[in-house]
Amino acid sequence: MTTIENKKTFEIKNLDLFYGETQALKQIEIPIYEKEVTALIGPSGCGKSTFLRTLNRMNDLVESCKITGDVKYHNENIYAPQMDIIGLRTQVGMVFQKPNPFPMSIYENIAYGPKCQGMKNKQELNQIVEESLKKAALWDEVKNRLKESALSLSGGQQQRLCIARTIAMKPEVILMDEPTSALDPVATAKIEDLIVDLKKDYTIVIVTHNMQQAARISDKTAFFLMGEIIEFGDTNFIFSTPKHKQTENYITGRFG
Amino acid sequence: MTLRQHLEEMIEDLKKDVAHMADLALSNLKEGLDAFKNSDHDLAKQVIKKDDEVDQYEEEIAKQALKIIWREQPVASDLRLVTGILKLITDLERIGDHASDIAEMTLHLEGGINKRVLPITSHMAQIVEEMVLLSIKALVQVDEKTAKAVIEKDDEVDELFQQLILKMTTELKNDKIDANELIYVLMVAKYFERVGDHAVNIAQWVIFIVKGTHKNTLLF
Repeated sequence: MTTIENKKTFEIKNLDLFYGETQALKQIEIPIYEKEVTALIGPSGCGKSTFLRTLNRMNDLVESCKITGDVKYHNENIYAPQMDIIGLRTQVGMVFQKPNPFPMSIYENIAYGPKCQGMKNKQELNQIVEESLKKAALWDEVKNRLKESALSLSGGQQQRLCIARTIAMKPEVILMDEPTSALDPVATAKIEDLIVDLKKDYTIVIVTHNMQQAARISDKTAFFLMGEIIEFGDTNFIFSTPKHKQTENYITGRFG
Repeated sequence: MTLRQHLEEMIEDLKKDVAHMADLALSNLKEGLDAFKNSDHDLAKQVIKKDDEVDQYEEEIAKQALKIIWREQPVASDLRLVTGILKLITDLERIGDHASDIAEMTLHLEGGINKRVLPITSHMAQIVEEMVLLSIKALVQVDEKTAKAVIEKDDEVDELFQQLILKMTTELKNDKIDANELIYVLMVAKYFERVGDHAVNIAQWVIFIVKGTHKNTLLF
């Protein structure tokens, strides 16, 4: 059976990252494929969230952070001096561990980004809000209360709102840092369904501590340990026949 | 005890139960052959009854394996071992059935048996017993090399079965064997040949447990 390899959205090579004197990432080399879900797993402090944040230059906000190597997004090194960082973060959106809606209405949460980009047309904004909420599987639950505060939503709804807010910016890639760790199983299942659905249109990279979640929703899995990628490959193989003893030990709960 | 240690203990217990199930099936197989050789109807009936115990083992092991799956959601080597065991106990159960089948032949065969054809059958029985024992050793030690040795050994069984057919054809031509007897002896030998095949199947599941491939096909 021949398989056609997907296009690479990101290609990371020789990536080293230091926080001051401490090396947090060592010689990272992986591709991120278009319209796939890539899961990053590993014990706490192994560098997976740090790596996730290198993909849209969120680490720039950490003063002591130093990065060498290549993070190529569509063949362009995003750490090149001429890089448009705002443009990059529009293309590569992010959803965090704890739902963080803005303290404003549901509608305004979604419209905020497009408005900042200069969109004023009310009709267009309405359309974006509706489309984004629909894509985030939240529309039916909030369509009659768009004016209400986003903070009145449940945790799971807030997280889907944050995903809708990211979608409103029409990104290509969505980075998710443990997006369900603060949610109950029902809300988690909704987010997981949503991720699988979003894969049709977006490239998704997700950090998760939930092994079953990685197994259920991802196409590729990277196992991080002490700043290195020990193993990267098809999720199928990582969870059934991992090549490295350390991967085996981690996913079967022998350590970590 | 950590949860991981608890899982390892459950998996070890599962392996021990498979070994006990294999011991029981093999002991029935031996007694089945003894009953057949000696036309011992009482022993034959006991063997047939004891097959229920083998069946109970299969159910118990399946229950334990399913419990590990729902409770622990095993992955990687744990997943391969638990699912491999779930598959191979079917073969062990069939080995038990064949012991019972052989005992059943005893009840159908009136009178004595042509002693000239028995050594070949006994030799087959001895080799398939070794194969089953070896396949269980391969499982307990999760050892591909031992599993492959089982698969190679199956040729000897097939060869003996061919020899037996040849021998019986000659005996039949020379009017030295009763046609009725021939049928039953041949069936018994065929059951032993099938036991060899089941040992091969078990060995193939052991290779899956080691590598994730079954008969050279990647199952994941």
